[in-house]
Amino acid sequence: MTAEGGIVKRRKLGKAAAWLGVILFLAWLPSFLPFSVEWNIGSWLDPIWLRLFGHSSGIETYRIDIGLHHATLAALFVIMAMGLNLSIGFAGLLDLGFIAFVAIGAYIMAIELTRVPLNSDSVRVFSAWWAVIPLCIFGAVLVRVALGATCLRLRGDYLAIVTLGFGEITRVALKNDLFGLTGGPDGIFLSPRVMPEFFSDPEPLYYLAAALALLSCFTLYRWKNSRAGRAWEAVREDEVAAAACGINVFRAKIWAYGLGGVFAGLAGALYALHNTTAHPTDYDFIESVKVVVMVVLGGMGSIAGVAFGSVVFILLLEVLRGLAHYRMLIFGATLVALMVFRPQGLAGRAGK
Amino acid sequence: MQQALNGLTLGLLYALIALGYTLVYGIIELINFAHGELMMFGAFFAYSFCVVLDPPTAAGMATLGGISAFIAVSDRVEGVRSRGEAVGAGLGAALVFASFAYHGGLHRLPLVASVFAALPYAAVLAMALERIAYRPLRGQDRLIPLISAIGASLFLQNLGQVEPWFFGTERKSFPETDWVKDQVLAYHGVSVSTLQVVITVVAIAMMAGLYFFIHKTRVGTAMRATAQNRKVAALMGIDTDGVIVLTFALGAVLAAVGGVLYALYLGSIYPFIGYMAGIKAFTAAVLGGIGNVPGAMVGGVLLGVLESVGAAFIDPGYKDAIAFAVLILVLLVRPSGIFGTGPVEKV
Amino acid sequence: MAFLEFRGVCATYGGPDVLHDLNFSVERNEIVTLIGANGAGKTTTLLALSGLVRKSAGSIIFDGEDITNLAPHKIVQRGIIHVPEGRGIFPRLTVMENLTMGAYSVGKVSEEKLEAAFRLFPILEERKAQPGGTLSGGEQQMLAIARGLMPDPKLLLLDEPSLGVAPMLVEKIFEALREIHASGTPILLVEQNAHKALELADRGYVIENGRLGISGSGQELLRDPRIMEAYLGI
Repeated sequence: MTAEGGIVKRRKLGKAAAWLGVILFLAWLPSFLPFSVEWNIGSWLDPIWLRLFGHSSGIETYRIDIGLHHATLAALFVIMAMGLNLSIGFAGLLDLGFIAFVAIGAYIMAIELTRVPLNSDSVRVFSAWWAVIPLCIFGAVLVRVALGATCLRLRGDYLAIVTLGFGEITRVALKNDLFGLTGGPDGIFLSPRVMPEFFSDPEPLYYLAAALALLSCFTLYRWKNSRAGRAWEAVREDEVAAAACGINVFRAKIWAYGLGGVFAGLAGALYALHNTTAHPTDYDFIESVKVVVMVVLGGMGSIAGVAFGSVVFILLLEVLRGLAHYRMLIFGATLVALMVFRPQGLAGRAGK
Repeated sequence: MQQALNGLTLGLLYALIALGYTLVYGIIELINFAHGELMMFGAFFAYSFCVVLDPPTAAGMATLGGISAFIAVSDRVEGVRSRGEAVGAGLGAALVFASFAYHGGLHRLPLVASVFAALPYAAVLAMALERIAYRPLRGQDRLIPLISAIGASLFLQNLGQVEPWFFGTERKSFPETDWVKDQVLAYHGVSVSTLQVVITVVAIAMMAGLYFFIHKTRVGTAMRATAQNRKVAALMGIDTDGVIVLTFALGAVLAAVGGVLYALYLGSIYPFIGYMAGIKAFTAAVLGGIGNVPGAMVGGVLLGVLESVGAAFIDPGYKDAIAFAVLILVLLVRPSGIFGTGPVEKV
Repeated sequence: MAFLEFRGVCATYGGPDVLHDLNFSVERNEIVTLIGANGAGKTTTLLALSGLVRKSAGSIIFDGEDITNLAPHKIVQRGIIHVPEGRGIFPRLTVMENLTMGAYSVGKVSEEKLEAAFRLFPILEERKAQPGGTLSGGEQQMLAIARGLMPDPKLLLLDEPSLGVAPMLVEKIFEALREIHASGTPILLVEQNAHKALELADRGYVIENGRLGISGSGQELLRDPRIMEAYLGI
């Protein structure tokens, strides 16, 4: 009895230490960034290239710059990945249009911020930028629940294609200046005039994003071990059996799906501030795929894994930026290879 | 009226591509996301036979064709013979495919001959894709092969843009194809172009052929049997892996023809061509009831007509959104598509 | 050498072995039955023989040839025909198409075989054009057996032919099995209905937790007190 208690206590201590470590690391990060590495690839590539093609490769050095904004970006994607992890990893609802809900959050933020200065007679709902965030979340959740209410009765693959379709509809609508608010193909630019003063420095946004990313992880961690978390797991494993255990399958799905919108809206609001713009091409299908990949890369349903996977993935994309369109080529090939050789994700456990 | 007619031809194209999705889904319950890219490369193979390519591009296409042929052929032969023989046969096939593609790339063939020459390439590419990206994942959670499919799609789409080995991002067009716009019929302000006639005839002929193949031939029946119960099909002596590979090849051949016609319809060909067409064709397949062959045909035509007519009535900018809006509405009323028979029973 | 021989076969679904060191044989013109409780490994044994379950050790010899690691369709081509548990009818193929699929390994359906099957199960001729899924459980079982006869099997594997079939039809099916055997086809029969199976069989093996236990002739086993207690409920 006491020995067991000791183990539990030690495990709790270990977990607390891990959390503390992560927090300290994130707090220390801005003093360490930006950092850059340069490799002289040309010197060893050129001899091969010369022999093969008769001219030099044209690549001299390969430079990687990691700035604070990458850390912010990674934190934002961690928030998104947590939201999607809730639907895919916890409840098994495949969503291929997640970025649409991020877009909703981003556009609400952008619209709200640009209203007053550009159009003095229009009424701005909230005066402070932080007060807009709940509105972003509310918007994303509302649309997500509406979509979920209509589509969550569909089987897995149908749901995937419907969410993909919804993502495309959203993108097309934003590009077509929906309600005359979204600015068409140019999107909405947040000029320094309308940007909240708080974000004139990049550091506050980073700290905010990192804190919210941590909070997201922690929230998911709490939910996973809650009654609802077990219900979601049951629904994911076997809907019929879950229903037989008295779980309202549809309600469990709606909750998992709708709550994903909280993270999407939140991440979207900060994403707009981070990009200082809300632009339709930032919310392509490929962005949804990226978030899905983060979840799968980290191991569906695992929280530390998904958080880690998102960070690794964002940094990897950044490192490969110099490769132009080879980057997406490598991305695609890696995806296939990963599924073939390690389908449970980098952090997931082996076996089914 | 004109819009409806245009929509009908576009819909037939969607249907032709949708068949590939539906066939594959019917048999292994996989959304083959890379199908649009198979269509793109099928059309590009036809294009490379049809024009004089730069030597590097010809070499690139030849390499792709050769590698695919090696994987496809050696995999098939390995089922019957020893591994050594399989590698030998694969290398032979690769040599034939690569050299033909290289010379075909450097010379000009007539359009129709180019399309026929491209079909084997589309088939082996699809077979190789199945072997590499999908077969190792059978029996896994269904999300896993789906992501692999998305990865394969991205890979192929970006491979098509690599210069000088492939085609870059610029739009290209099939040479000397001005005849497609010629009017063959005009009646009360409704006109029909040569291309529309060609699309209608080819698409209907291919669909009829497919229907006959699936329902009246022994191998076609084996395909349906495999789709209904793969394990028992194996117990009947059906080589189920072979049937699955055949399904991929068949879908790719239909898509390659569809891709060439689609490129003619748009007036250009480029590596992204498969993306939208693929997603819409998939939507058409779901609309009709996925796994259901006549459903894909009806879904495709319906989608094409609604899209053309809708774009004319609402706002052309929303053209790409119409397909998905229709999809969501239809699934609300009929959760398994127009011709869907409820959830596919699990084996 | 025996017609079919299991030599120390172990099998696995990917995890630990589920069959351990199976040794048994079937002679030409024999009906051999495997009896045992639910989950004892009867079905797995048949699936291992047909190549649908991986063997982790041992070998299976059929007609003098090692077929241990052949692909399922190759094994079918050698004449081992498996009538699966739960019948495995293709529900959306017609009865006739189902029969055609049965003959897939030999090419076309032979008229002679078809007539013989219809003589055995006349109901199938009436239902020729109906989808397989619309037949009753017993009719489906008949179709499954008829389908198994189409390629002229050298060895017929039957998995629980009485499962989910009305008692009256069970009689009919066992009668048919007797006739099939009389026409010279050896049968390996897996059954939970131990009494019926042992009555029919020349020899029987008891399988328990993936291992073979008692074996003997059908009559011997029917009288064996251990069998009577465990499987016959006497």
